[in-house]
Amino acid sequence: MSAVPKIQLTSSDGAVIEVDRPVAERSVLIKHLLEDLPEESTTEAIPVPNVNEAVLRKVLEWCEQHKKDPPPSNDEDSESRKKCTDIDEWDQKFMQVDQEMLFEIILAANYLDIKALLDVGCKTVANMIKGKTPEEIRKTFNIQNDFTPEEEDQIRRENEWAEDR
Amino acid sequence: MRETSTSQSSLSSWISRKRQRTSRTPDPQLLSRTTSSMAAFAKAATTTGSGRINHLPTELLLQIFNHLRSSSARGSLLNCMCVSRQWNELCLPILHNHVVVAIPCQAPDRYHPQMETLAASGGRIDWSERIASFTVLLDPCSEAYAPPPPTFAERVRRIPSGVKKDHEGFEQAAAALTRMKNITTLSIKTRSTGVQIPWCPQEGIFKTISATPSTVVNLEIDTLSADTLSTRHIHLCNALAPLLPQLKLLRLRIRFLCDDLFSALEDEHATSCLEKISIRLGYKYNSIYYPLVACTKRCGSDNNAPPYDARIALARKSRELYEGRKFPNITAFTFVDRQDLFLGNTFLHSRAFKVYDVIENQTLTIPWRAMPSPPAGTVGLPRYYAMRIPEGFLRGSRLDDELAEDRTEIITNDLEALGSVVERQEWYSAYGEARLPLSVLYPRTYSRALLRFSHPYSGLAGDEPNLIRPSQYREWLDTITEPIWLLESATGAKVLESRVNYGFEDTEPGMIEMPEGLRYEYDEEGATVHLMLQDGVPGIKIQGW
Repeated sequence: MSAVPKIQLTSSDGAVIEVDRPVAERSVLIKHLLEDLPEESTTEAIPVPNVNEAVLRKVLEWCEQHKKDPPPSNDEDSESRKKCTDIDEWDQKFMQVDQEMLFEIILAANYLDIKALLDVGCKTVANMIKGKTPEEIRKTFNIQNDFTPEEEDQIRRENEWAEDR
Repeated sequence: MRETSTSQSSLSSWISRKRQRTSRTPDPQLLSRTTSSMAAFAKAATTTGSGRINHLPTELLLQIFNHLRSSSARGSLLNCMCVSRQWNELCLPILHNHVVVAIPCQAPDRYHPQMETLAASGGRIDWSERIASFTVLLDPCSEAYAPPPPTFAERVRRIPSGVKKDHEGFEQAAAALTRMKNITTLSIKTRSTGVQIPWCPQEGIFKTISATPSTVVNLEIDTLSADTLSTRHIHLCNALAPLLPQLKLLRLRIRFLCDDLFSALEDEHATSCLEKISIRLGYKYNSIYYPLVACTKRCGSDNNAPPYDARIALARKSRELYEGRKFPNITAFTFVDRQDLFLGNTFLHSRAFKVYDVIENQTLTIPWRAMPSPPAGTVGLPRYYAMRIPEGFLRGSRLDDELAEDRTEIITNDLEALGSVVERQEWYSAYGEARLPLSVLYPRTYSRALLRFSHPYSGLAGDEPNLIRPSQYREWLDTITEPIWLLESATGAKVLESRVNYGFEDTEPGMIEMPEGLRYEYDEEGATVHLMLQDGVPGIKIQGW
């Protein structure tokens, strides 16, 4: 079984991870990289300097699960994709991680250019925001409130009209 | 972003080295760069979740907020704006991309802060060029309805100030609209709550449409639940026709429509861009069909065509247009006419049909179902109704999958007969005595429901005033049991003032069909209606008045 070609990735903390090339190619960055490189040089580990081992493994786990997905949709669909905050079940489970990991995954997906994963990540965060008051949002994400109550009130007043009711 | 770009460069240096195949061992410099970028990364990470989200690059935050664009999540977007200054700046453009302005109908006391914000030029928020989609929502808000005015008179008295405010709202919307440089979608609609809006500020809508910038390609007007019959038949055709050449999508669900619009559609230059047209007459809410009061008058004409003639003409015209393929880019053309009879406080589903169905299939589908219980304190209707099938018609029945209810179909091969039923509105009159080809049999005790034709906006009765034909006035009047007072006006003219308590307080006086010899007049803003003897009519004797 000549099987699937493998490549190696080096995480930011120096771990070398071997992975099926098609799985790694869910990342557009890596895909283009591999296309650009002369054949023989793909035997060497590719550094992924922004992503540590734990996150990289997590990302590759997602890639493995989704390796058979159709290629990322074109721009036309992106509009409908944006509006929908539904996440499929496997992805939902996959995203049940602490916030730190969640944001790391989003950053990694962005860096590695894995649109679908980035989307899932962003949707997950959007769902965490939904239905929360500003104070609850701040608490959830540990954000400093730099508004005075008057300012907050003013923002609300000024923008209520833009809210679909 | 910073980390990303640093590492990107480190990676690209790795690639370039790979290309040159100069070295097989990693460059120490590359490693150090990587670690330095990781240091920033790690720093962010170690602050255990504190503001971790804000370490996301701006573009990613924007992507997250973009997921909150859907209408159900827009409240969340507003909440996000209140979280911090950074979030505020990021969310503002997203929020302003699609703006919905609600005009609370008939609420004179309600302040429209949103409209003022919009109308104010050069306010703190530079909104005008950000808006791609603008929706003006006629809102039958609770303020307008709670508490409902106790009497008809008060209800009517309330209209002027509310109407004034509504018009102001639309004028402000129109003013704002002209400044939206990048708007592509304009939508004027009623908030669908099932509440009929008593007064459609048609003039305001007309003005707003007239102010549509040339960038708009999608236009939607959906005010069916707001239009009621009034003396002000303001057609939108004249405002719509000049816009046709720029439009790709046109969707109309309006109450007043005449074939002037179709004449405009016949101009091939005017419609070269149109891709989708949807014209729906009548609508369905909670399985109740609300009727269209269409095209009884042509633009600029006092010529009252019989509604059904006009409607059938509209349907034919739309079909001719479509079959003539006047539209080079059209992908969808919808023309639907649904019509039902309202009777009393419940609804007689005597028709729910597409005009095409009538013309082409020669069938009418009649829902056969239980009536909902009438609300307390109103004149009720039987829970079931019966129909007599006119001669020349066959009766069939089938189970309608969609509604999972039995329907009776009236089938005929006699198009003439069917046409006459439709055009002469014999369905409408199909109650009471069996004086019509198609009868819906009611206990006589319910004949008072006739009066309820004058209840357009309680969602109950209202329909064309000429439902009651002159020959039926006498019968109509016989059914009035509540007192109607004949008053002496200041000018000496005989003035009738209706004090009938219909159970529902709302009524539109204009809806009351005048007996022969009587006419009515609104005063300014429709605050009061006077029923008067027509000039030259010495007087009329009507028993029961």
